[in-house]
Amino acid sequence: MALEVRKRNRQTSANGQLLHYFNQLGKEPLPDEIIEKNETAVIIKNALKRLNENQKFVLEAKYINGMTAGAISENMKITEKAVHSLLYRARISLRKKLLRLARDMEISDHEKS
Amino acid sequence: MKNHNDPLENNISRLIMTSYDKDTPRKCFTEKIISDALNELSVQPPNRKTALPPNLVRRHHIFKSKISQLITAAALVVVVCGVFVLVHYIGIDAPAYGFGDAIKSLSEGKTLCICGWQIKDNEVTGENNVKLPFEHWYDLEKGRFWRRNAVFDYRTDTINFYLSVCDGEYMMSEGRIWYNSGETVKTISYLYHPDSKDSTINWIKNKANITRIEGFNYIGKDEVDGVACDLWEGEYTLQIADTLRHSRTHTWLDPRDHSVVRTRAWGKTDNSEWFQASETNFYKFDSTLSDDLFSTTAPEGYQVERTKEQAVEKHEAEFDIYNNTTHWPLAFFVHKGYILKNGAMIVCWQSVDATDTSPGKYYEDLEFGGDLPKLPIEVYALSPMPNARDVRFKGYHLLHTQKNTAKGIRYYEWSLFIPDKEAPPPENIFGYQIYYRQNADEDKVLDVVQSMLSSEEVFMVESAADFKTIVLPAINDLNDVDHLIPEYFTYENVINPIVA
Repeated sequence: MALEVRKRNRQTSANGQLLHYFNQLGKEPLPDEIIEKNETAVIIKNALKRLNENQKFVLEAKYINGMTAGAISENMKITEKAVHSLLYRARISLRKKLLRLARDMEISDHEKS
Repeated sequence: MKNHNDPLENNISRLIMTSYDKDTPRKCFTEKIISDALNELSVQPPNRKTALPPNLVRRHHIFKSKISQLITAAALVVVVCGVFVLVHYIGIDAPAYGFGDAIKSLSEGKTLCICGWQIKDNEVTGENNVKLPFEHWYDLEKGRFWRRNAVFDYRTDTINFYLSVCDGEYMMSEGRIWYNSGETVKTISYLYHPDSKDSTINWIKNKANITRIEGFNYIGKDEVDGVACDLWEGEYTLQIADTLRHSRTHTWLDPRDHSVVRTRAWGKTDNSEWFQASETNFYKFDSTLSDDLFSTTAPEGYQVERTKEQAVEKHEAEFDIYNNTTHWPLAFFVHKGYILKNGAMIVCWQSVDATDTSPGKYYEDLEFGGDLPKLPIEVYALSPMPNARDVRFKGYHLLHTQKNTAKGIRYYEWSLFIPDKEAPPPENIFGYQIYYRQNADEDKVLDVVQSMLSSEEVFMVESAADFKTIVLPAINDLNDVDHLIPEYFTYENVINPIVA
C-alpha cells in the first residue's frame, strides 16, 4: 500500500511538473532538464501530430529544417507575411495541444493509480 | 519584426529541435539531391555543350521536321568550353540596340526552349544551396507550353518534378497530396487559361531578366557557343519584409539577332557574400513542336482533382489561394493591369469578407472616376518596382462587374490608376508594389497578402482598337450582368479621365 502511494505521487508529480512548465511556455525559458526529458519529446511529437497539416509543416520547416521564412513561403506558395502569421498561430496551437496532452496525461495517471 | 526574446518562440523552438534530435538526425542532402535532380532532368545547365544534346536527342520525336531539327541542333551545339572570358573595355561604346530588341527577337521564333536552374531559396547565404533545375518549351505561335520544374519537398528532403502543360486553352498542372499515413498521390488539375499566349510572352520577358534593366550597363564581350556576345551587367536591391536583397545580373545578347542567350544572377543580403542564384539558357528554334507534347490528357496513374469541365479560370484559382474562408475571411487579389498610352493603368482587383452576407453593397453610389469602393481591403495605390518607388499610381473607380461562379457571386472592381509622375514601362520593371488598407473590422485578420502585381500580368493597350480587343473582352469574361458596363466606358473617356 505504501509503495502504491509513492508510485502514484511520483507519476502525478512528473506530469504535473510538465503541466506547470507548459503553462509557463509564453513567460519564461524552460529549464534544460524539462526540455531534454524523453517524456517531453513524446508529448511534443504527439502534439505536433494533432496540429493541422500546414501548422505542422511550418513548425518542422522552421525548427527542424532551419528554413527561412522566404524558403517556406516559396515552398507553400504563400507570402512571407503569411508564413510569419502561420508560424505565430502554429506556436499558439502547439502550446494549447501541449497543455491539453500534459493535462490528459496527468488525469490518466490519476485514474490509473 | 522577429522577436528573439519571445519566450514562447524560444521554448517551442528548443522543444521541437530537442525532441527531433533524439531520434531524427538532421539530413545532409545537398549534393545527392543536386546529383539526382540533374540526372533525372538530364540537363547540365551551366554548360551549353553538355546541356543541349541530351535534350535534343531525347526530344527527337517532338519536332515535326527532323531535318530542320538537325540543322538547328548543329547550329546551336557550337563548341564552348565554359571558360568565362569577361572582357572589360573601358570606354567602349555600347551596342546600338536595346533589351526590347532582345525580347522581340526571342518572341519571333516559333519555338523557345529555356532551361537552367535556380537555387531553392534566394534568402540564404549561399552555403549548401540546392539547385532546382527547370526545362521549358514554348510554342510561341499558339501560346502553348510544356514546363517541368523541380520543387524542393521539405517533407522528404527530396526534389520532385512537376509538370505544367498548356494547350492554349487549358492548363494541366501536376500536384501531390500527402496523407498522414505517408501515402503520396500524384494529382492533375485543370485551369482554363485562354490568354496563355500573351501571358507566355510576358512570362518570357520576366524570365529573361529583360525587365530588370534599369541601371544595367554594357560591360564588354563574352563568348557563348563561339559567338562573341554582348554582356550587360545590372544591380538592384529589393526590400522583402525586413530584409534587403541585393541582386546582380549578367545578360548575354547575341549581336547577330539581338536575342538573349544566357542570364546569370547572383544574390546577397547585407549579411552574406555574393552567391550565384540562377542560370538560364535560351534556345530559339524555327521548328514547330509536335501537338503531342502539349496534350493535356491526364497521364495514367494520376488522380484528377479538377477536370476540364470543372476547370476554373486561372485568375479565379489564384484568388482561391488568397481566399481561404475557413480561417481567414478577408482576402484581396489584384488580377491584371492594362497600361494605356498615357501611362495610366486599368486594374482589375477584388476583395471579400467571407462573413459578409451582402457584398454587393460596396458598389452602390460610386462614380465613374470617383473614389474607390470601400471594400474590406482597399487597393488604393501601386508603385513600380524596384527602381521607381517614388512614382505612385493612385486609384479611381471606373466600374464593377459580377459573375456567378461555382463558389457564388463574385464581384470585380475595375479601377483606373493614374501615376503622379512619368513611370517606367512594364518591360523595364518587375511589377507594381500594391498598397492597400483594411476597411473591415480590425479583429478580422488579413492573413495572406499579395504584395506585387507582376509585369507578367500587365498588358499594353495603345489604341482604341486594343481597348476593344484586349480590355473589353477581359471585362466581359468577368461579367454576366448586362447593365454593369456603362456606355460611357470608352477608350476616349478612359484615356482622358475627369476624375472627381
